[in-house]
Amino acid sequence: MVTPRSSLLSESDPTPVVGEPVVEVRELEVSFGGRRVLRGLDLEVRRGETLVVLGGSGSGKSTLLNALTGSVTPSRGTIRVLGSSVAELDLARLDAHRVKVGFLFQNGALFQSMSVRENLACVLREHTALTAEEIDILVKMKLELVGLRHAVDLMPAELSGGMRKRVALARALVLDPPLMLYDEPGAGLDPVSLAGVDRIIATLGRILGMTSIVVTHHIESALRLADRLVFLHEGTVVASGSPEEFRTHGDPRLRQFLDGAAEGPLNDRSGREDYATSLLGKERLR
Amino acid sequence: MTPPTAARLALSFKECGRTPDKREELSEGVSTGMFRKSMVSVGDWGTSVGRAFYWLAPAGLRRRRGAVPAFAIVEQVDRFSIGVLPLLTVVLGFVGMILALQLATILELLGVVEFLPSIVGIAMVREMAPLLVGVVLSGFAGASIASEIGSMKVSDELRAYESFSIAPTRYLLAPRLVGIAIAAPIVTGLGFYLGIGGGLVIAEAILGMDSGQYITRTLAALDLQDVLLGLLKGEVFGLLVVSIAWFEGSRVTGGALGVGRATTAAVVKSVVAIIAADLLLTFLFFRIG
Repeated sequence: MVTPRSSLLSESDPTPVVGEPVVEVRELEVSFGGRRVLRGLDLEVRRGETLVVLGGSGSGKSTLLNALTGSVTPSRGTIRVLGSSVAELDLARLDAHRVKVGFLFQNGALFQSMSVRENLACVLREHTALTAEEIDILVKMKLELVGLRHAVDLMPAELSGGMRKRVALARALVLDPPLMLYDEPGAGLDPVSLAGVDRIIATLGRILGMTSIVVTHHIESALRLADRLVFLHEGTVVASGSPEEFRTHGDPRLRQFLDGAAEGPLNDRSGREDYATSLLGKERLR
Repeated sequence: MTPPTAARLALSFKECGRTPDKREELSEGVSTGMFRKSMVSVGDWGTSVGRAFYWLAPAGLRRRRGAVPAFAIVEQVDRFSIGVLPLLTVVLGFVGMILALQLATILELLGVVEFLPSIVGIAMVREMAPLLVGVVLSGFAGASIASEIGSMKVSDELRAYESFSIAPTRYLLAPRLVGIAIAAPIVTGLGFYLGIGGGLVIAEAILGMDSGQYITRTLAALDLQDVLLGLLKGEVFGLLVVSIAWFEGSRVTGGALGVGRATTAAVVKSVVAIIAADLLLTFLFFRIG
């Protein structure tokens, strides 16, 4: 049974204040080597909202996140994030933009040559004028938030997969970005670690008013985290709504995805070449 | 019977629906494309090296603040000097011995065996030691840098630097360039001693030469310009090795296979670049006299 979002938060956590749009994506198209990954995608995320992006592999979820950070250049359309048109930013402004957007990588992507402390401290040293003592306190506070204050002097290689993900989360939050992007936060985590990470994500929106976009394959996690969900298929949004609306949504592709059915419209092969033709070639079959 | 290559090519063009008249156009297109790609690569390599040097400029001249971490530089100096020492001792020592043995036969025949110390000394200092240091560094440091940076690319670590607006060139490339800039002349200087020492062992043990006399003759044959040329070569080769390895590693695609390819490319391209740079520097010094 899916735990509702309210159960992730304590009664004292304030309710989210959903405000003006923080992310506005219009008719976004992104292509790689002639292959269109995003095809006219429209999306809007408001301040304080947690939007969960669902979709099969190759549906364009990670590309969407990369487009929001300015790591990929769109071939068409507009992306406005925190008031800036991302595609039009020069390098210096793009750097300033990225500081305001926290990014949790799928595998954590910790700096392997640095200790846990240094992973967080180097980001603070780079972008703040804090003293070494202040940085040390902030590092410990952020690690406490993810329950890993005791791991401050460990190296990334000494951490388990779940711990690595939580340290990466603490690092992504170290500058208190107004917008957080999570790429598969639950990948490779056991159910207990996953619930812990979900709780942190849910709490951040309430306490810090942080806006979050979460890309995930975990249906349970998605339904308990989201204020709103979108379902991507072949680079466009085919369904959008609240968790309640998603549970009863009529789109057959979304239904197959939520039910985890092996056969259905998501793997429709009717448009593909016949297996025998593909295997032997037209000449041999003639 | 298999048709000759030209005939097979004509056949393949015919099968592709291209007339033989278009062959020149096609080959020109391929070579132009390859040339353009190579130029783009050289440009990208130059850009990343330029970005690293940006962080080495005095803070007052830069718009972005921050320094290259000193501890990382120390680590790299250690890696490129103490780390390569055992391998360098074996390679340079043995090559010095081989050179002395090869020359001894000819010089004895000509009755001028006393020239052995000066020939070994000049060959080692001007050419062999810097070249072999460069080759040893490309195999030792170049391969490890390319695989290290390539793995960082594959595991999104490089993207993580960018996502925090931290220049990877500042934390990763600049310390390696400074490290090799400090270590390469030291290692090359050691290479002079090791190579000449190898020659000395053979001269003393097989030719019965006096070691004091050998050293005196070697020093008499060498001048400051020879030593400076050798050290300059070592410095240039070291910088080429590190920058090429960084460049190959930072553009890895395709997972573990890509890392393997980048490592091979880094070593191969470093060796080619070292030999080309060696030719250029030798030619320049030859012109200067």
